[in-house]
Amino acid sequence: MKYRVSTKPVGSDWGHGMLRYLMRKLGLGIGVLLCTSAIAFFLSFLVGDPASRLAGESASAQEIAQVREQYGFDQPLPTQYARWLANGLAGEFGDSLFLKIPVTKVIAQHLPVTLYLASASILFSLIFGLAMGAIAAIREGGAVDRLCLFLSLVAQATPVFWFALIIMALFSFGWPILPSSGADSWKSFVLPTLALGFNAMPAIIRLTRTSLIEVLKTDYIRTARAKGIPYRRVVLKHALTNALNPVVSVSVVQFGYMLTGSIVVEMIFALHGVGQLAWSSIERGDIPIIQAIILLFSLIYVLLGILSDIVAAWLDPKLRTASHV
Amino acid sequence: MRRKLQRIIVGILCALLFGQALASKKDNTLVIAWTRGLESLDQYFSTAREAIIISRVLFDTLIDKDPETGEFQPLLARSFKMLDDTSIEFVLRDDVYFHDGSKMTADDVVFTLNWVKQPENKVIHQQNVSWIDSVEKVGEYQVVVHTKYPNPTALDFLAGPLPIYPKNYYEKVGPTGMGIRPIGTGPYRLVDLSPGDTMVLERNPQYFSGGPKGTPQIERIIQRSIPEENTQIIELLNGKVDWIWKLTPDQAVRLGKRTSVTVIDAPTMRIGYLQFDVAGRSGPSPLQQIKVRKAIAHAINRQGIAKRLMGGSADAVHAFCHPIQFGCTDNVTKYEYNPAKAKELLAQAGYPEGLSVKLYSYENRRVVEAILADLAAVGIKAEPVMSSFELLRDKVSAGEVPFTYMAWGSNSISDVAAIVPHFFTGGTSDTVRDERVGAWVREAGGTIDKEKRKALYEKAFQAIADDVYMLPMYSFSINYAMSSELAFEPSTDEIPRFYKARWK
Amino acid sequence: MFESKTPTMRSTRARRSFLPSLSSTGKTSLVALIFVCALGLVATFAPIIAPYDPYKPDLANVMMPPVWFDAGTWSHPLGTDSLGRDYLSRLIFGARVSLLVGFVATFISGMIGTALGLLAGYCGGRVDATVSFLISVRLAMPVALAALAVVSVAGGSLIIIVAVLSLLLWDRFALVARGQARQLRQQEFVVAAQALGCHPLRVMIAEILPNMKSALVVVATLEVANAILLESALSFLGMGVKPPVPSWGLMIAEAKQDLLFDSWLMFIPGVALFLLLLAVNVIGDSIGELRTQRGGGK
Repeated sequence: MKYRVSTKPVGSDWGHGMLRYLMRKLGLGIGVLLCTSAIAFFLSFLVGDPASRLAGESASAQEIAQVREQYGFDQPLPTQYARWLANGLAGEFGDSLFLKIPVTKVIAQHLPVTLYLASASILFSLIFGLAMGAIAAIREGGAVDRLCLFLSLVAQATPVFWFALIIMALFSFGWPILPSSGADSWKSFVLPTLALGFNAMPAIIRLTRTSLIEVLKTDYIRTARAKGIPYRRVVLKHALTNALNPVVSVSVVQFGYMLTGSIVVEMIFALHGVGQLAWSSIERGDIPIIQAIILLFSLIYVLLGILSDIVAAWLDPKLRTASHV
Repeated sequence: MRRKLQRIIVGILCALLFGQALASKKDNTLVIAWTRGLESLDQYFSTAREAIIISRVLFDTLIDKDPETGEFQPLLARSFKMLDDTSIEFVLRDDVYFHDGSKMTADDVVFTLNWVKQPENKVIHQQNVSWIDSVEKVGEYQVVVHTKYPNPTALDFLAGPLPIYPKNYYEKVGPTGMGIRPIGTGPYRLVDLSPGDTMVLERNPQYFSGGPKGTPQIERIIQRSIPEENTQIIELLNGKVDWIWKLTPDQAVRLGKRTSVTVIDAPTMRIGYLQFDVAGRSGPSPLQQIKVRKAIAHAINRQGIAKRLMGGSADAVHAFCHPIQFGCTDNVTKYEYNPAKAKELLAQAGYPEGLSVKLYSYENRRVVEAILADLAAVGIKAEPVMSSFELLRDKVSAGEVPFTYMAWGSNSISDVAAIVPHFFTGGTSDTVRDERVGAWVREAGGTIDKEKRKALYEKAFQAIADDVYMLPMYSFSINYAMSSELAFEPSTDEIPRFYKARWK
Repeated sequence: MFESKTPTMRSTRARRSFLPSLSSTGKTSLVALIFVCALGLVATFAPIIAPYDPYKPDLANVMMPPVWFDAGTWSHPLGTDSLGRDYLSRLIFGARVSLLVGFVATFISGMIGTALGLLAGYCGGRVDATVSFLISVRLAMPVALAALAVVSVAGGSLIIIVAVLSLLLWDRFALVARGQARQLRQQEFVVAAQALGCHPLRVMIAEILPNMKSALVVVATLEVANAILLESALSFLGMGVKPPVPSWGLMIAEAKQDLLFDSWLMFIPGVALFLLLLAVNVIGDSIGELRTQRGGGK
């Protein structure tokens, strides 16, 4: 990856290229969203027959057919999809089959916990990942470097669910210093954050290390050092900002992955977030919620992707006009 | 959209700032935990055991049945008497108030029972209400319940799964409203609910005294759903949770060694069973052959599983009922554990190489695996399909399930009329559709003559066992674990009576 | 959308020592390679090596501890599980599932991803746009949820699991293949082949593909680790391989109940999984290193 010396766009450079870039990305994003929502829609119907669930346990075949007609489940799938999408754009996702209250309400109730957990985890992995990656790059080839690499290997090889259970057993049971469930205080989030963040760290460590190493070798840095600027300032001000580009992109994407990772972690630590909701909805065959959650996750991924592209393009204007899609 | 955004932000802030720890004995609070959330707090529309339990805490029924003595005691009704074979008169208390302050009168009783009995209102367990003909108001605090036929278990049902609802409120909000904001007469009332997750109940200061439920001692009950068992145990040991149940025998033994925890093992009315789609609603399957079913009966080491995996007072059961229930009998064909015989029967049925089936279930993985292993040992390759209880229940009703392992608690009613009719009188859970058995069961449910009922039920159970329509496996016993400072007595009907708990 | 995120997950070593067979990293990767091969052998010959039948419960010997506890015996060196099944045997057979699913799913997704990426990178234009769009869709799809939903319906047979994983793990192959193909198509030998009038398919397969191999192998090793991890996560949630097949993830799930009091039940398959993943990652890293040392960034 090549790095430009001047990183900030100037004046007119901003407007035209950036806007076009944004529009392109947005258009793509909408297209992607449509596709994923379609897949989500069709996928979730596999999970169960909503008509018989709505009709209730003692319903006869006739009653089930009635319900099917009433709710439009007998119409061809594409029509149903179109209707669902139209309703969805208006914020109307129907009621949960299980809880009988609006899907949007259920998800809104569960979302804060997950967002909090995902944010805390990404912050954790960013702080430690950046620090370790930077130190490893600066002391390249040394013992510290090898230690950091080893740690990131270990983190990569540890299954999240196993790790979560182990740390819970260790720190809530063995030495009971941390809560193992609930969302009462910030303390309850320590173990879950550790579990999720630990898994996301390796990517950040390595990427930071790699790109920082490359940046440190450029002429630009060497010139700066030759000029007599203290090493620390060189690293922090000039090198890191250039190296950050891919890291930011990756971490933005990792935030999205946190959402899926939260399924297991929330289940283990009894955090009533969207992850746990998704899992119990699949178990219970609560189709409207499954559809809405997949759509929500996809929306977040797409938005994050666009966000990371914007940040990347802002940091490196070359990307805006390149012949990428 | 904006409001939702606001709510999310507030939610995050709350999560950040929340500092409350859930203290227990000091606050006179009881924190209970179980694994799953409830779909609805309206007991007529939820079949989960937890819904039944909470219903007893939030609502009252006309009468109450003491699980140990079997006697009926007045609850919402001061007294009752049988007017004739099909009518029961209840004189109601005049000092009962609903949680919203309105007074309970005969109107509420009349409305509730008349409403739930109507099939178009789709109460989930129709057998609980289908026997009601009508309920008549004969005075401000007096009603007469008319039954469609002489029903020997009418009082059991009235004492069990039939809570009384407030007429005005239920008319207005219906099951959906009641499901999230229940208003009843019970010793506790709901103050906060996170649907599917957590519940906070507070003592009802207006609860009438002198009833069989006593006067509640504990100020607040907080129910949390913690899906991970280990987390439940850890929370119990850390004092954040005071009461959990359904531990495995190993966990029970280990926890019992700790002094901060009391572990109690109590029997229940629940039996585990294997159900076959004999009638073939889910399509043709080898299980429709009686020899195959007999082979399965011989293949599974029920006694071994009961003793080794379930522990406590769990024991193998041979008739499709719990030994404690009236009408249950042991005088049926018993299939002893004999894998060799099982293989022989399979060969006779035309499956010398074995066969493949899918076994549907919803919990108790360990037991399911033991069953799978036993079946595999005789050549039956069973693929497990696990899902949630509600989903499986619906699938079975829809006739999509050829083979399932489930459990039935009989709504904690100690009469076989709470189990056999549900499965053998042509309803959606009847996967056999044998008219003979159905006729006997219906007849036994329509007379009060005890001897006659016993004889008819015995015929039914014998037919069920002879043809292996159901394979009853064993009775369950349950482990309860609680803080050692909590005074709590588990009952034998699997309905923990939290309103009787108190801190020592 | 995914452009800026082409991950360079290989670690670049200092240019000081580049004799991998002597460096400590080289030694580690050798050990890792031996480990994986040994595991593969064990898995292949599982029926011969395993002392007991991993499926047969023995209710009389439930939950015996491993040999390093007081109550342990050498008859069951790793103890028995809650149904009395020998843990060592289950571990050995479990290796089969992990390795099989890992390698087969990666192989299939590799085929899919490489084909798509190759087409996109070489042909450019509309084809590239379509494939890139597909990749974006795939990336926007929450993997775990989709897998859970499908498996909860279709059942957990090994074939379904492998199919689902294959359909979900091809994106990185496609990305790398695309990037490689774009670079390579400007190379002289490719231009020459085109000038000679070779059919584009032939150019792709005969000229470009072989030169991508090393990059793809790096991706492959990482995806193997991913596949194994995903399979165990699915099994853990109950939506993977069905009991009584002893997938390591399933063993961890089953052992969950005894985490607090008989934690060895959970530790043993967890450690096994960890070692396997560690080994695969180390191998992947080493191959990446070799690549950078040989030809710098190709």
